[in-house]
Amino acid sequence: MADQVTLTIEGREVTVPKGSTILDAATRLGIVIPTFCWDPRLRSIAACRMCLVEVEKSPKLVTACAAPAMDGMVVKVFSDKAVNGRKAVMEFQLVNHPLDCPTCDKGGECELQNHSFSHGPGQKRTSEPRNRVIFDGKYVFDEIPIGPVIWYNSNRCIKCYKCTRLVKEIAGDADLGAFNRGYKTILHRHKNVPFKSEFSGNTVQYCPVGALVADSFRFKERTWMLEQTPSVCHLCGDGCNTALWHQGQKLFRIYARWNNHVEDGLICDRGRFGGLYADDERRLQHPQIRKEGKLVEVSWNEAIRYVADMLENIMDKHGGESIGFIGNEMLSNEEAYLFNRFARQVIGTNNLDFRFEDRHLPSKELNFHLLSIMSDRVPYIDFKKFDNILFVGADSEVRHPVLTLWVKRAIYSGASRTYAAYHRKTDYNLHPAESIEYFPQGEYNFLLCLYKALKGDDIKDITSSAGVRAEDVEKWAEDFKNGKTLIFAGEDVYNNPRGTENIQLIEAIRDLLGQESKVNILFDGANYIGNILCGATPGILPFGVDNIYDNRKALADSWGAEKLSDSEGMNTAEMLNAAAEGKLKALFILGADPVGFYPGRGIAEKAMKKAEFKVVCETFLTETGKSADVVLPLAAFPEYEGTLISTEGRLQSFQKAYETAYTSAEGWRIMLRIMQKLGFEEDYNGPEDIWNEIGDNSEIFSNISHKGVSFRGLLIDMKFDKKRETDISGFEAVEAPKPPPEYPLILTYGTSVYQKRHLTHYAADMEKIEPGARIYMNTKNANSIDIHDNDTVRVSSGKGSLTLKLTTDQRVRPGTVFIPTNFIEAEFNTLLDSKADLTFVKVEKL
Amino acid sequence: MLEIIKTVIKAIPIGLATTFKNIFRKPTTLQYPDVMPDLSPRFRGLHYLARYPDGTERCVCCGLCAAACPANCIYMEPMENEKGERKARIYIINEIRCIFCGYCEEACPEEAIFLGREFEFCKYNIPDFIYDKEMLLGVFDKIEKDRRVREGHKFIRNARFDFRSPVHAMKHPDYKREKTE
Repeated sequence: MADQVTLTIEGREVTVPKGSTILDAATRLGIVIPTFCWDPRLRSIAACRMCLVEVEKSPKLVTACAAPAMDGMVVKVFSDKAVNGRKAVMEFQLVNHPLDCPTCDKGGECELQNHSFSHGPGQKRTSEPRNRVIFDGKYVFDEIPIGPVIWYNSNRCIKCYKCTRLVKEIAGDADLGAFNRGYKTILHRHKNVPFKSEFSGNTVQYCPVGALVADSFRFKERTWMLEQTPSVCHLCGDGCNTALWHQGQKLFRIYARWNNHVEDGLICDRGRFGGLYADDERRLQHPQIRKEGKLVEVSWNEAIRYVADMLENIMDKHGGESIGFIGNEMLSNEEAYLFNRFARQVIGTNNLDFRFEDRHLPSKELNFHLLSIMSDRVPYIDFKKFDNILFVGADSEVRHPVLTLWVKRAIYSGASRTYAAYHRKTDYNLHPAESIEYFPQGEYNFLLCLYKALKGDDIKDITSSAGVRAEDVEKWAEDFKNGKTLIFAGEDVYNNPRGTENIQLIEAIRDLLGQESKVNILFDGANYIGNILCGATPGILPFGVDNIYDNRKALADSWGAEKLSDSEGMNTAEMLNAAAEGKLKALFILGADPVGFYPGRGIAEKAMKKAEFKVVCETFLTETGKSADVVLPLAAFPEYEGTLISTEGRLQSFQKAYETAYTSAEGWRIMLRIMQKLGFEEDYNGPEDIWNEIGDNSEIFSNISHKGVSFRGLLIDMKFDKKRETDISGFEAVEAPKPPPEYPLILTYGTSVYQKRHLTHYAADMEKIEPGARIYMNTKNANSIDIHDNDTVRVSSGKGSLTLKLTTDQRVRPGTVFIPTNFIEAEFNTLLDSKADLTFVKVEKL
Repeated sequence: MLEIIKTVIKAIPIGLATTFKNIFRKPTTLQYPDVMPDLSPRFRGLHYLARYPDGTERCVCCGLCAAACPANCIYMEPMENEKGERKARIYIINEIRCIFCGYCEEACPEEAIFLGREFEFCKYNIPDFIYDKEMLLGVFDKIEKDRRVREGHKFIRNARFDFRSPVHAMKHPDYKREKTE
């Protein structure tokens, strides 16, 4: 028992591992010691002194959160000396704390209130006026906005430094700091830099007092008036557990639910503040039908009947194959399953897809390959077991902020080193990371370089085609040979013209590094895996079954259908092309916005114009909806329930917080009603019924109930055979992209860390954080054509042009420009050519 | 027959004894509304929302009255006023649901809501009993106006000590001064 110590707390013996604190030992016994500054995820600094306890033979009281437990220690928590000591600390805390609990938004969930009620003195003995920190005469009650979405009140602050430590130790940013000394200490942003870390919202949740208040919740509602509903964040694939705080049909705030295995209580601002879009009044409120060229509000019955009649007409005239279905990656498993049943059984087509933001979509074989790799994945909590973590083709902190948080922890604990390969620098927050920037869509060349370097071949000839330096790649290869490596293959690896080759190369690299090394695939979108497994892609039937004759027949038998379509089916890119050529007569679009986000606005607009009949179900009226024949209001995520599979492969269920607002309806209900009008005989009472049907028929989801995955989620076992083709001997580097002289820059685009498509645009906070679309350009490039920060520029390609404000950014690779995609006013996809792989642009000052 | 007459003669004064006893007493009923009743000092009537001497309302919309209310008859929504202070945007009391227990008054940390002495607020329509913020402030304004008329336009320094509750009377600075002198 060398690494165990035994101590006595309040007369009871407890044995804890060496290195534990007295607080840990007391917690194990169920003794509650009050704390303010202690947090299990942070290093103890004993700033608040609230956890004072008496230790025998120690002349003074000691802080339980910082004092290590030692053998034979005798600790008294409730002796007179300890109680009086804590009482005195409480009195000191309250000397200058303002009595503004009625106006403080933390009132009701404030740790200071709770501790002063249970541990503090009833009165204060000082008669001096309370110290008041006044920043600026403009703000009453001495509150100042320290960031676009966060207010700081220094008078209420008890200086526990939780906020600065959260931001610095976990998120790795240095936005927030403590200034001055003693009772004059204030916490403030650094000069002229707004507090804008993408994890800034967590400081509000974990502030023990009301010193940091979110703008969206300031003066909104008292906490005890709100209900909490467990949910799962929909805005990226990380699957953070959230709690929705709502009253009636109004969503007030989103907090982390603290699942130790997923987000560990820390969610990003996109999920915390962006998720409030569900509450916006600009939502679609009624079903609309186009009559004489205008969208007119109608009743649900009329709309459903009209959609069913029109779809039946088209099926009679042109057959079911002439109807296309486009969903989105935020569909729950139940919706995806019904979506697939709608298309395959009721309409009789294989034209269905849930991906619409990329043109180079993975084929059936590649999807199976990705899923088979996922069967051997590494969960978040095991990242720190790897010595090297390599990101390829992933803007990880933008698309997967919380996954990156786990990587950052692995870095800061000293266990791992990080390497990021992308077409621009992503080490903005991953401070100790090394980065290599290759050409846009140069993943294939880069991976080939790395593979050859690992094999010990000479790579001097091919590095120029990837746009990287040979010595960098060779150094990385040397590093990877020592220790275990975890490779993250991002979205750009498989959403790529050479996606299959890229994944083969990554597997080959993993094999070279040994069996200890692992590959994780990053999936963008709340339910990417679930959508594939529930059949929302053309090539894969529900439950991850290949779409071949035998499987189709078995599925048709289990559904009681006569026959399912034998065609290959089209993905979104093919469907839009077919619709633009007039081959596809009708489109059923569920929550997707191809006009706004499909790379190639021209083709999407043409498809919407050419198709005879377009149904769009969506929460907010988008560009796609404006050109549709029928627009049906879709419920937002607090208004329905279902299950999602995160990028980690964790199945989690989210609950319904309140009934659908306005007259919107859930996706599954809309589809079911249309299906029933078209002769579908079954009925479901809710997503749970659909889930039970999925569970009964599938091997992967059998014996999993809705309730079973509601609390911690379940890592699902993906039983896919490994289809390995590692013969990559014939692979050769492709040519580097050569911009034509009239358009010298390569256009890259992607999401911003605060945004998710058009949805977060409707959250008021997100507009404050990012007020408008900008174009990012390397400082070197900008200087060479005499453009500076905040200049208005015109970006033009062969297809169109945009006028935007410019930001110079060191992180963008020289020779490229970057445009975030999420702004409705900046129609980035007008620039894109729907045929060419890369788009070349020029930038002129206006 | 005689016995019957005897019994009746005996019974009449016995039966009318109480009547004769009370016939010369002062009546306990009042000629309301000509004569107003003498209310208890702790009588709880129609609510009002008090103001500061400068005219701004005291209520900061903290929600404690609504939390304390056993009849769930208070609803409120806060807002930020032009000075950056928290004030009520909506403040509603449903007086027909209210049981006049006075818990809201006890809970109020800003001493903004009180139960006044007004009890004559009958209406013909039930929706008229829903008092919003302006109506509740109007009740206070009326009370304050009446008092000024009665007390010769004496300016009341602080509205919080203005009410007749014995608890508040003891808190009044004047009360202390009287005692010490």
